[in-house]
Amino acid sequence: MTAMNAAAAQEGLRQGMGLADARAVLPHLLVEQSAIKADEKALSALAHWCGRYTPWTTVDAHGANPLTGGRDSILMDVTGCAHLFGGEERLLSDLMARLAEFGIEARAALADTPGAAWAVARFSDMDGAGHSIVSPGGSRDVLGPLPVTALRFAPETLENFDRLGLRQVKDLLALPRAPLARRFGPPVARRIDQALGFEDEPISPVMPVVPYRVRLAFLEPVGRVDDIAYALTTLLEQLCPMLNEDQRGVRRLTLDLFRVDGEVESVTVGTSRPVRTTEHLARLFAGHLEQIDAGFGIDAAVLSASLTAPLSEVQVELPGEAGGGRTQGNADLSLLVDQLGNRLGMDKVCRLEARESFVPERAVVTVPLAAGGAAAGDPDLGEQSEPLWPAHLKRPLRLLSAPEPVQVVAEVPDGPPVLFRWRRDTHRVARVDGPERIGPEWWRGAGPGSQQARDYYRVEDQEGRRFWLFREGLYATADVHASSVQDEPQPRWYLHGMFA
Amino acid sequence: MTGSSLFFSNEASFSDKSSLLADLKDRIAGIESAGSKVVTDRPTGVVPLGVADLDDALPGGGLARGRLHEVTSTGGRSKRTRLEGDVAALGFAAALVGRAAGDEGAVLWCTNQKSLYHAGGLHGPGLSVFGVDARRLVLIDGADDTQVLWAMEEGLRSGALDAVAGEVGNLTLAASRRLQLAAEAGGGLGLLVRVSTKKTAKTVTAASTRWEVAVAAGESVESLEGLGAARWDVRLARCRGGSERRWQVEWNHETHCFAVVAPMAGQPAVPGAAPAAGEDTGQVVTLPRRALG
Repeated sequence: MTAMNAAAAQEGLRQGMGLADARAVLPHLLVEQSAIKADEKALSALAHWCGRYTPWTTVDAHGANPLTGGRDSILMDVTGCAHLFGGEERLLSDLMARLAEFGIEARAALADTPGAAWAVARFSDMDGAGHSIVSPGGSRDVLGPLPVTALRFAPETLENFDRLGLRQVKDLLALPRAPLARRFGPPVARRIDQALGFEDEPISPVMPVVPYRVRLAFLEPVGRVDDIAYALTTLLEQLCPMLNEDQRGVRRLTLDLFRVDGEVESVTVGTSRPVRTTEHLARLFAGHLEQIDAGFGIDAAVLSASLTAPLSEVQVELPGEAGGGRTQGNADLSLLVDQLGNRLGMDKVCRLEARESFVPERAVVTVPLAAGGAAAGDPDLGEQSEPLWPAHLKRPLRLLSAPEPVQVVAEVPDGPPVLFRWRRDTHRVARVDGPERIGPEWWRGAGPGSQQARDYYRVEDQEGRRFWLFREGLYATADVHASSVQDEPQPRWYLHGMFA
Repeated sequence: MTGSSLFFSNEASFSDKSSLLADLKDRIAGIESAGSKVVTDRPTGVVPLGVADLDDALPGGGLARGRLHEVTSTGGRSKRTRLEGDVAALGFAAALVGRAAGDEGAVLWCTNQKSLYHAGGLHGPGLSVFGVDARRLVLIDGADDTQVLWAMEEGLRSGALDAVAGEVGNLTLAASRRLQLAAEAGGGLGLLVRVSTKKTAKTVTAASTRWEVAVAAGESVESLEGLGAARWDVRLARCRGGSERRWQVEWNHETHCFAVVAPMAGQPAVPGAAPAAGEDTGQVVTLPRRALG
């Protein structure tokens, strides 16, 4: 038996009992298979739900159940949060009442340190309330009568203590510290320090803690989309002034909705560049709110800006959009980009950027617009009038993602193509323009266009369709005809693009 | 419509009836755009194509902003040759988009991943040949037609863009109607670039104009060197408030202008219809009875 409820415990059942023994004590016992994985999942969901009280919640890594090794408690740091719920006492009773509604039997303790709370929650005698609060500075007195197990020692340490007759925490505390640490190792001393608050024990929260976070609790559970939208607007109106004060804008925003049945619904939206306009952010949530499953209702909402970036008072302008009077257009455009990105994925909304290379597949890269940092700090933004690419370059409208090999009839060694076969169609070349030689970029490692020169030809077939062909490599200058002798690779022809 | 100028030979009745006609056209336009209640602050106007021949064929002297237009290719009906023909349509569409955006306007171009796979991606330097500046271009890479249509609609509705182009396969009349309404709300120019399939020619859309583009087979004079300007066989297949026409058009990549090579006079307006008799000889034609009454 790994766990039991309070009623069973009163009847004398204990952890670690065999099932037959337990049945002997209590014939009408209800037994369920233990499912450790499912328990863990439920526990972390509950930890997430506890985010309604404080952002600093986590599943306690140190489980007290020796049989399963399962983790069985949640740690919350309510420093500075208790007053929101009318004090520590009220917070705890609210928590316990809600847990009881879920059908969860829990013991809660609030103390100066996680260690003390851990001990009290498990080993202290609580009156009917099921929770207790250790007054500030009172840890030492409260911990004293508890068994040494309460201080989260390793099993072998506990065995040693047992052999030495150290049963209660106060026995340990009475010992001089230095020999204790020497005898049992530093972890023991650390556990004691952690329980008494001499050593800090940080909680690493389930959810990342964000500085920009606003919370709204409802008097009555709500479920309608309109109500949620109204709550969202209210939250945004609180959040945006906070951001404004710090000159920051939102890049990622999460809305957590706490349902009465303990589930948490989350919606996250991203923006391509920092934003702190209420309408803009509200619009991004628009499509998502309908899809929220409100269950039996939602009784609290938390809006957190998990990613922010500096944003000065002036709206940042999109590249290429410089010019007065278009600021409104810019705002509209960035809103549009965010809407598109949130639905299709931010990586699907791109812009083209020029690169310093003559190899066609290197000359242009598509960059997601959401990588706003790069866009804003683009060095060549100053010269707006300069075209991105030299106008004299004749480049196709469509470029194949990889050049496709074609069979070509051409004069050896360097004649233009006369006939070529591509995708099983034969094209007879009517007119040719070229060649344009693009040299190998030897300074790059392996990759396209780094090994051999390419001779590009623009050709038009007899039906007027225009293609971009190239020959990679050159025939060896000496004995072209003795091709059987030479072991150098033959030049190959490729089709790389199509002109309109 | 081709007979209309002959038809109203009487000067007085001509001006009378033309004003009546204009009035009626206005009223129809009012009824047609009644779907959108939003009044835009963006001036809705036209995008002149820069060539008198083309602009004259269009009501208002150019492509209307706040409307949906359609460019399809007649390049190839078979699956294999479709590709090259589509590039010509793409080029024509890019030229229209470039003219609509001008030097300052922003453009949204929605591609479909499937077409990307077959025909390769849009190439930035190639686009700039048609006057589309990559710096003011937002590219959307949609997974399917649904996403492309949705993105186009959002783009048109936002009002932040001067032109929205989308490469779409098949779409329903309802879908195109949605785009049309979005274009009216936002005031930008919507452009459907349709991949030519057997269905494309048959489907009816809510677009104001429909252009069919094919590469012009090497009819032009052998230029001294190289290939010369891109040349297309452009057919204005459908035009609300205008007539059906056909041209051979060249694109000048330096001035970013169209040039009409040879107006294809004498082409039947509708394939299969009899050509207007006597057009070549300049004879006065006897028109059907209706015309005299």
